Amino acid sequence: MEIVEMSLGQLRKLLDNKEISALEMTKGFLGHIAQLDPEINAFITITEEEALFAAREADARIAKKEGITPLTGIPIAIKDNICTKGVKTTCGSKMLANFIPSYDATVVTKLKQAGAVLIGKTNLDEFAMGSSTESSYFGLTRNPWDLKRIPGGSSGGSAAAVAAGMVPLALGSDTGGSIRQPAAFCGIFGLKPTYGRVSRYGLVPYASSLDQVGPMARTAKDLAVLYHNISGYDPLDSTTVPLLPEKVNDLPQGLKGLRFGIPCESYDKKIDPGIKEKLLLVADLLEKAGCIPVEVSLPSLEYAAAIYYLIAFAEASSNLARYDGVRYGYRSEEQTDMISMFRQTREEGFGREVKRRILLGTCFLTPEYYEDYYLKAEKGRARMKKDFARAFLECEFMLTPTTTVVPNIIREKTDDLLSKYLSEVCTVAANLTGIPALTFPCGCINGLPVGAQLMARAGKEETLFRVASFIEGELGVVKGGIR
Amino acid sequence: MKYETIIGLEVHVELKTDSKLCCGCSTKFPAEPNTLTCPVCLGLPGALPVLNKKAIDLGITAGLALNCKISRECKFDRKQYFYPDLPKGYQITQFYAPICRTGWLKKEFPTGRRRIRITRIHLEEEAGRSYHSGAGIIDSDYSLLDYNRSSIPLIEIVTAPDLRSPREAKEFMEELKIILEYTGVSDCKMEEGSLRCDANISVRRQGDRELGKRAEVKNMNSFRAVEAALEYEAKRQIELLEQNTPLESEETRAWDEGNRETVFMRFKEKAYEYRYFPDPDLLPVIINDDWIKGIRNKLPELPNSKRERYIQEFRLPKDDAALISSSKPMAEFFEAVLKDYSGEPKNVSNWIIGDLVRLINQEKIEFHQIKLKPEALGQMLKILDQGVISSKIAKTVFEEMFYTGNKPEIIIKEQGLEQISDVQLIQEIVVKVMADHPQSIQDYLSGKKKAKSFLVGQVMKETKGKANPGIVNVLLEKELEKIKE
Amino acid sequence: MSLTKEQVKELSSMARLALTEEEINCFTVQINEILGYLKKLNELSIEGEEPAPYGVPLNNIMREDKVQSSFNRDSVLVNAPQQESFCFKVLKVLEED
Repeated sequence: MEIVEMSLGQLRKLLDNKEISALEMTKGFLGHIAQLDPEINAFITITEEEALFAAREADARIAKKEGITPLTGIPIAIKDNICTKGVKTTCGSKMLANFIPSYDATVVTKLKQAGAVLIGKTNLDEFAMGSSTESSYFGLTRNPWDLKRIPGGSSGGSAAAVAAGMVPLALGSDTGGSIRQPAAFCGIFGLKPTYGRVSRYGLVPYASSLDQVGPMARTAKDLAVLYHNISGYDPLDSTTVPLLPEKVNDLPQGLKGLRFGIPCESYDKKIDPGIKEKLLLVADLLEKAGCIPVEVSLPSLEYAAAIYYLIAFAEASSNLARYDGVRYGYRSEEQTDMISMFRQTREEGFGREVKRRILLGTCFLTPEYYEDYYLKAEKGRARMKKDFARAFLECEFMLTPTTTVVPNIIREKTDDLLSKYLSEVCTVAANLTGIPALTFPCGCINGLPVGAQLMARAGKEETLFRVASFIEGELGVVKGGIR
Repeated sequence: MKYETIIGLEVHVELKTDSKLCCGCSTKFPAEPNTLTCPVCLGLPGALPVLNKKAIDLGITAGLALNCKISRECKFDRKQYFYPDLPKGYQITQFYAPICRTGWLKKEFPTGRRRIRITRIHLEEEAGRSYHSGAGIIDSDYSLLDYNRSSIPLIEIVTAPDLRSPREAKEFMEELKIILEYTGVSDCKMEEGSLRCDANISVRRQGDRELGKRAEVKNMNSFRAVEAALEYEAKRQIELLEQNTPLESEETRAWDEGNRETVFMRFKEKAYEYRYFPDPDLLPVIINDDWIKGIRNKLPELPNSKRERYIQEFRLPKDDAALISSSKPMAEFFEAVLKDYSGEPKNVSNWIIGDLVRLINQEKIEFHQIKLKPEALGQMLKILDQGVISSKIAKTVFEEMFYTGNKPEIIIKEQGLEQISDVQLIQEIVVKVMADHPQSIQDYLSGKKKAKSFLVGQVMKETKGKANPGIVNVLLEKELEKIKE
Repeated sequence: MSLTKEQVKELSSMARLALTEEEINCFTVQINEILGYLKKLNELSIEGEEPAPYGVPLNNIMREDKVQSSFNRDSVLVNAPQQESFCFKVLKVLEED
């Protein structure tokens, strides 16, 4: 087996047994990237020099048998909206095309401390606003399963890189589904952690009350290892939960007696029948393992997309106000005074989708719309939290589709804005309610991967890992993306 | 026709914290440009704010000192506007749930004692500073931005329109400054910008019930400027009323210190749309009774009640009481002297208001920097009362104590300044002086009473001022009587 | 509630975006389409709900008033589009038209 196909555990064994050095391994992955990425365009920046340096450091650790963690010497890709000290962090935008942060995001600090090898920064929809990775200033990313198709988004670069075997692991960010939808489209695992379990310090915000950094991987176990490495309280992020990070344990196998909720609202007629079929298969497997299916109801789910867009765009319009060309980032040459500098800089520096969302968000926060739209959405979010809390009295986790369709052809859906927005309908609820949600591959339709989503109560990531790991064992690893 | 002026103030006060509201950068001033900054206060992408607890404490302190209701739930909002000194494109402030509401400050005005109502106090962060290259704002092509001040904690105190004259506005500000300094909320240095105020002012005909359209006056950088700017603006508005062309819409004006006038900036209708909404990065702060109680217990006696107590308990004249209580270090010094000294409190206030304040001003230092210890002043007053030194010598001793911080008994001993009350010794000197100045004796005998004062002076000179003047007088008189006979 | 082109222009000025005529036309249509969809929210019962604008139900997250070292000034200014005398430099402010 080639290293590009291996799981974290297999790579670890090679390193620990000194069958391969971290340097060789890193060079191997870099070579794979050099070969594939011109076509796929998963990376905005490849940090070869830094990666080789980190690999040598990892080898020194391994030689001394000191401070070896599950990630020591393992190449990892980082979504390019997560700040990396001394390495360009562009957010896929002209606005930040040359922005070099002078600080690391907390998750990056944690990975470096663990001895991971950061190999590059991955492509995304501009400022993580999108679900296709078509809106990046640095070009679109292609789905390794079918290069004519989108990888999903906004963490499309990370998803494509992991699926194609360019890296075993990657970080993404998820505001409304931006880890889970591309993970599903690329046939890999992705987790949107409980809000507050992973620090947002250094994640360039899109919608602060919804954003979470999360892991993407090709196995459930790898996903869990990366999650455990990045999670935990951070004094630099007031919204992290002051709990100690959970200990990494081998995931227990037994699922007997666990109740899984099937929200009737998640299985309406809009879902591709092929996807529905796959989900029923998963439900069967769970039942055979001793899980108990329960029908639950989430009446507010129908409004999730509306609530999500109101809150996300309102927050985005504020979060993106800082890009004014004064302290960093793009500054327009077309300026006669300060105000024209602001206006031109923002007009030229942002792409169309970003401007559209800023305008909508600005509108939602004006006094005419604040009460009837923004505040109503915030109240709607409160109602959704209650709906979910009630449903979780009856079950330990829920099973839903991750997407209603398989990945579409590139540029196919660009015109129909509303249907594009509504494609996130399955994933946004977890962001609005702050609960963890995991997507796992559950088969293929016409050679394209399908994902299913698990959701649990806040802080119950372990349940999700257990279930996902079990199904992975039953279905076998899907590797259609490896090239 | 008589007119009434209606004024409400919005006072911005920088809080006395060591670090900023949302990050650990220092608040020290002055500092080299952009040396007290970090990703948070520069608004770099991905940086997140973390609240400084001391700022909340000081907000509560200010609220208690101004008799406000402290909110149980204190939340932060984003106020959106674009300006290069505002690094995030929004200011962290409190719009929907400010830390304090509905308080008051009692103030003795020339027209009587009144309560000026406080509408609200909210916490917010300071912006950076822009400097203009070139001669001035108008002539320069560029602005230079320094973010050292960015995110320093502020409170904004908003009063009801309860002030009735520019002078009242100035006096209110002075009183507010004293209270905020007392309670350690702020340094209140108007010249450094740590205390600033904007005023909303309107005028109406006496007896009218409706308020006129108001103007907001900004850029008043001293107490004197507050009074002068508002006097100018009231006069301007009255003239407009008299010409039957009152303000038609609310406007913002700036005080031009050089030309001594307020100048039009913009109409309020054109004011920015701030689009406030709750900041998702900063979670609510729940303030419980214990927290408030803890701060209330640490609150010092406020100047108003000190003033009353000085008049009642120490029988100080009103002006002395007002002056001493106006500065916390001075009041503390005064009270500390009285711990050691059981004589007349007025003696203490005389020395403080007179010689001490004179020397402090002369040396251009702050009260808290003085070397003089209150115990030393108490001791000196005791020695003075016992007649060990004369009041003239006391002045010398006092200056010495002021400059060296030494104890009075040491100064007196080292410099041999004890008063000479030895009758025999003084008698000898009197006789000698009389022998040396026969002409003066002649003058005295021919009725020139002044000649006696001259002779007393000569005796004091011989003793370097240390002779007990009472004894000198008695002895000299006796000798002169002898000659008369 | 639907928006006119003029209102969209006003929003763009508030958001400091010098939109082109083409963008304004296109965005006006799209914004109205989205606003139309969002009316759906009127069907959702939110009786008795308090707004929940935070991602996590925590309170009183604060730090002590301790000074921490600031960033090195060179790294502060490294991304500045223009600088002078250790300050960020911008064109002067003109009053809004």
